Amino acid sequence: MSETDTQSRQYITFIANGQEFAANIMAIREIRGWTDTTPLPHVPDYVRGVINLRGIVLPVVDLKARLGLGMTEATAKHVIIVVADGSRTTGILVDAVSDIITVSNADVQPPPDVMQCGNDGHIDGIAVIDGRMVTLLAISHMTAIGIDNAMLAA
Amino acid sequence: MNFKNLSVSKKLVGVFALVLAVTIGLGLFAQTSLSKVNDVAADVSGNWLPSVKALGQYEYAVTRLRAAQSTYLLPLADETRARLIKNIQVYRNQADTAWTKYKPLVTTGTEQNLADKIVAAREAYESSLTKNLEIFKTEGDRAATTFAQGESRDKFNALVEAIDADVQFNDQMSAQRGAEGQSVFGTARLWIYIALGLAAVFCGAAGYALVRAISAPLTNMTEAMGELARGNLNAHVPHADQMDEIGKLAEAMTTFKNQLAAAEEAKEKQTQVIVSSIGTGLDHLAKGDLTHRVTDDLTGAFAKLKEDFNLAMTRLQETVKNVLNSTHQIDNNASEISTAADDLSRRTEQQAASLEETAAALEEITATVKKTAANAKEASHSVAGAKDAAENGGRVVETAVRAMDSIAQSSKQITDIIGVIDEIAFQTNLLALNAGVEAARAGEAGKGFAVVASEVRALAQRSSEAAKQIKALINTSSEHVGDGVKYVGETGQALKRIVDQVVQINALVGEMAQAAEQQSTGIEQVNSAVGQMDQVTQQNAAMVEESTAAARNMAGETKTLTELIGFFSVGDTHFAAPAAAAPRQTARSLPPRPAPKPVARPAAKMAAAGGGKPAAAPTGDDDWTEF
Repeated sequence: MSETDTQSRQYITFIANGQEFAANIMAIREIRGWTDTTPLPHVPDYVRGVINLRGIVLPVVDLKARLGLGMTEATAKHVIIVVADGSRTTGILVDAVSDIITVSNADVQPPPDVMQCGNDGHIDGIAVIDGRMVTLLAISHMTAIGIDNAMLAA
Repeated sequence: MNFKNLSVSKKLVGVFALVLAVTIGLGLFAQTSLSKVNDVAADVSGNWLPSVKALGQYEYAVTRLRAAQSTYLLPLADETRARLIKNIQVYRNQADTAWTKYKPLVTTGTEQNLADKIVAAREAYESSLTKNLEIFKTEGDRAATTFAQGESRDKFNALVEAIDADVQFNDQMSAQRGAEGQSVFGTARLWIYIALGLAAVFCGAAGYALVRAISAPLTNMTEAMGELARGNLNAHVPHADQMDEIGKLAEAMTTFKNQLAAAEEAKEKQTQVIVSSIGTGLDHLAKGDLTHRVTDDLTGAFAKLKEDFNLAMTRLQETVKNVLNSTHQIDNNASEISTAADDLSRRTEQQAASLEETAAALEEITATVKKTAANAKEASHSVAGAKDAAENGGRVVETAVRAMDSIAQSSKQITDIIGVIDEIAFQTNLLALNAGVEAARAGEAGKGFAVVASEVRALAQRSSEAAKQIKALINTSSEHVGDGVKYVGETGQALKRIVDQVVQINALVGEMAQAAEQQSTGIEQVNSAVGQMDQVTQQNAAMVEESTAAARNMAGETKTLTELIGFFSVGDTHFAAPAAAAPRQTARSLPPRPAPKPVARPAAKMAAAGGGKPAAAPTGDDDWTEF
């Protein structure tokens, strides 16, 4: 445990709905500015559509909507984080990207029990950094579930 | 019955009847001679000359007939011959027409014989012509020509000779009648000249007799009447012995002359009586006695003269009495006028003093008003300057508003540029993050790179923050500029209101200046009126003095007049001069002398202020109650 405690990981922190989240940097492929998407038929409302990323068709998921907090009003200042999960690549729309931080495992706490019933593996844990609470999102899980839901809906 | 004793009308009628008889005889003789000449001329022009003319035409036609006969015998075409036959008929007709004209003009005797010969010769020629044409038809042209040159020609020549004889006869007769007419005319002219001479001599003699019988006695009578008219009653009246109208006129004139002489004698006697009685009356009048009357008995027009003289004396007596009475009254009135004139003089002096004070006060007021007018004009100038300044301020404000607009536009451009910088910072940040991601994925090998990426990201963030700060500053600046524009606009509005107010002030000041000028003009008019009043008052004073002197003179003159009138004796003398003097004396002594003449000006002023009572008191209430 002590071994893992001393280990540290790098995270990218970003803001959605005014709240600071973090994702493991290794899952991140690229960060880019917002471009208008092409909407898709018969998809969940949090899927904003697809964009052309250097010849690859990239579906974009609205994180705020995905978290059940309402639609994001996208502007040029919004950012799409491109996430690679194996062979699948997905874009996640967030308000802004804040920083690249290094978090030691000691600083990460598991999600509280009160979320147990509703927690379906979205959150890896919660880190306290300089007095701020940063939610560590299980980003790949999130995109996978999104696809499943979309498929279920279809 | 002498010619001299015939009446003038009979003389005139007799002489003019004789002249008329001579004129009628002369006219009858001239008329007879003229009708003889006329008969001869009518015979020549109506008978002999037309005969000659008709015979000439006849001869011409016959000649052409003969020519046509000769032509017919020539070798010719049948058509020409037919035409010649036609022409021969035409010429025959012409000859017959001429003969018809001549026939009524033939006279009995010689001419009748000649005409018969022509008829016979014509018949002979016509039968030879017919025969010739027969020969031409039966025996040919040679035989016909021989006939024409022989027998036919003799017949034609006989005809022509007969015609010529007749023409000659007619010619001779015409010349003979002409000579007859000339001899009648010469005789008549001679007799008419003789008759004219006799008539002239006779008319001259008759005229001379008339002049002797009428004009000369009239001239003599006119001269005699002239003598009478000049008053020569001994003048001789001529022609009194004549039995005609002039004799009667001379008789009437003699009667008239005698009457005139008798009237002259009566007039002489009457004149003696008039001169003595009227002369006595005039003598009394010369001595001033107006009571004398003419009592002599005068007749006719001179009775009227006596009445007129007596009436004139009575009227003169009454008039002189009235003059005495009036003189007395004039004397009384003159003293009253004198007193009144003294009072009037004093009051006029007071009035003059008041007028001078009024004039002085008016001059002060005039000066004040003029100063006010000048001040108003100056104020008007100042206000105009203020208006110009305010308008300049308005223009400056407009310029400021434009400048601020420019500033606002520049700020917007700066904001745009800042936006670009912010965008670049954002992109740079994204690139740095991507670099950081790449470095993390590279593990240990990317650590150095991660540091660089972090530095770049920090720079990008600082750029972004600086851009944000600049943007905030620019926004603040823009807000300030907006406020400035608003305030400057308000300043402009305020300046405009100031300009409006200044314009109103200018108008008011202008009105004030105008009013002051009008006041000044009005006061000047008042001033001149006061000056005129002053002048008039002084003229009044002078006139009052003159009238006072005149009143005194009048009193003296009245006295002299009374003395002069005293020369006449008018019988009843209760208006004698000594009696008239008494009322005049009382009239003089009655009105008390007016208050001491020198009335000091302050006193006059006080009197004017006090309603004039103290001044009026000393003169007595009876004279000035109207005041």
